[in-house]
Amino acid sequence: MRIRLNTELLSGLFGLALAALFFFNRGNVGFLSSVFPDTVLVILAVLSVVLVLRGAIAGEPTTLALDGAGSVLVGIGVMVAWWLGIKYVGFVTTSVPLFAGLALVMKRRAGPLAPRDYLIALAIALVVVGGFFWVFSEVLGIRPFRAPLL
Amino acid sequence: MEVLIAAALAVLQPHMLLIVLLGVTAGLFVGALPGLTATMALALMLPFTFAMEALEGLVALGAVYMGTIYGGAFTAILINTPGTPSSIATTFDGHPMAKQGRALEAISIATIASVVGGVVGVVFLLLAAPPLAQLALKFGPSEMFWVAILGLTLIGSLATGSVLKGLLGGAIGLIIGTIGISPIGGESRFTFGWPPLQAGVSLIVALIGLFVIPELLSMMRQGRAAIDSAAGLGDGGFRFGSAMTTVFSKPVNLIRSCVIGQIIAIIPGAGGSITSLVAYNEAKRGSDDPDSFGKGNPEGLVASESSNNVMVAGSMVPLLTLGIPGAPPDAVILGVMLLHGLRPGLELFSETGVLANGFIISMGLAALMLIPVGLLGGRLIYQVIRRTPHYFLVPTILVITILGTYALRNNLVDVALMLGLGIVGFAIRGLGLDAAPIVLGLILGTIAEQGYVQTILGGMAMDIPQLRLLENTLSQILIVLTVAVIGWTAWPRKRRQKD
Repeated sequence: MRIRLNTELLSGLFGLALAALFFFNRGNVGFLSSVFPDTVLVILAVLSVVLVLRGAIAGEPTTLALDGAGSVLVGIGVMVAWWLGIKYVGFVTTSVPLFAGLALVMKRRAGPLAPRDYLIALAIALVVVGGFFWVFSEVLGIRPFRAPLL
Repeated sequence: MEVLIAAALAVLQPHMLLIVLLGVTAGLFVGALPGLTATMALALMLPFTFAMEALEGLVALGAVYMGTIYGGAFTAILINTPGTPSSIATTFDGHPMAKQGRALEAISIATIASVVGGVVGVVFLLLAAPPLAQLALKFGPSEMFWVAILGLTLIGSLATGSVLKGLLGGAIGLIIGTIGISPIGGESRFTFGWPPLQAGVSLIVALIGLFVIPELLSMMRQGRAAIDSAAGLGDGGFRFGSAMTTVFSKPVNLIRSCVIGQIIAIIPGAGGSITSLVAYNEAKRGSDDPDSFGKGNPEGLVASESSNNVMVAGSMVPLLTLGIPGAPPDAVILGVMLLHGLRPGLELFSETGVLANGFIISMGLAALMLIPVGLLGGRLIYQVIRRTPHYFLVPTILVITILGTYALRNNLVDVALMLGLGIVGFAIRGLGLDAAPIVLGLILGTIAEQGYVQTILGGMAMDIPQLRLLENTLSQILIVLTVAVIGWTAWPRKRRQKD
């Protein structure tokens, strides 16, 4: 599936939205802390307006392919779940099933899965996640994640 | 001369060569992991140096530093993920070369360019350290502001599509860089009611998020095809000879990149991250075929890799002569020097000449060691990426990026920011907003803000404090350079449009 978008107009609107987000969260800070971001906000807003005007007047739509958008959404979901899991459960206990799950979802696009695939995915997830966790925590001395489980 | 010979003999001892070999190898693999920076690699090496003699410790750190900066090129070329910030420009042409099935050629070119850069940096350091250090001292806040503005003109070249979108990306990077505690006022800004944001958005977090996550999402979308093209499958083999020819066939590009790397490296605070970007920009501007940059032109790869390795030795100029760390990893080296009772300055060369010159020469040895270690290590990393099924490669990279990002500050907020920036980065890539200008804005924002606000503070007695920015000669030279660069960038574009 393909869609046509006016990317100049949309990137200008994105810039304006970002400028507005920062402008309304300036808070009460003194001159020394505000003079630079205020200048940047003006530049950001001006560039965004120019892009919006160019997009509205002479913008040519660009064709974007949406093939595989479902996989991207699954990927984003996995990333969010990964972060939440690390925070509230534990790094290893979250990463092993999500690693194996993501690998299986991606492999399934090439064809049906056999029971052996599940075992291989789980074994590789254990080796990779456990291996990197051990290297980071024991060899490199990085303090492990604080969570109820490992 | 006698001191130099004694220093060379001291570092040519077998155990010293072994330290260099191990240091370069360790640095290479750390540098190839996204999130693990040269600063972190050197910090991790610190405990090992406690038990060493002063020269041994410095040699080990110099070798790790050289290996880490070089190692960042591997993932930049193979999976479009800069291992360190110094390798951002390596992705521009290195990754397209890999996509064209020229991955090993790109790695070979990166290796030879890195070796040349490393050796040139060491020769500069041996011959011209004191006068270069005096020049670096002339850069005050106003000059640093203009250096940052000059750096921002790179956006004209970095933007692959519309320059206007490139500028918007740069402005987005600048505003993201203002999140957190203000560097001069000390007040908290743009935290959106979320206290962890007071620590700001780390450059490495943004770098990993904006470069790695969109690439992973693309791989998930395209499946095997994305990995095949990313890892350069079908590469014919080892291309050392042709890589040598490629690197030395454009001597002007090589020399210019080394000089740029050296100049930027000696300015404390300018940051090693921008050396390769500036060198890449100048290579593109000076090329007969600028349109081929970003599409797999080896000239861009040579510029990036030679300049960032010159920077390793170059940043030692202010460190060894003035005691000012030119880049964050240098601060770790300074710490080891102080730990062994060594005081930077001219006395370092006069009273402990064998040690100071031995350290410098060992960095040259480390650069030469990149040839065997780099080519073998590069081949190994290439084969691992090539042979790993895509459905295992993607989650493996995700595990490494999560751990690498967390390891920066032992902070899960950084992981959330990295993933969030990556998802937004993937979405806006579809609108033609590239990651490179955003990251450049983030790098230069802090330098520009500090220079701008400090200069204004110094001019508060004036009616218009901003006029202080235009006062001294060095600033005026930088302003003229900035205007010239903008004109140079805009002119060919207009001419092309007319054609």
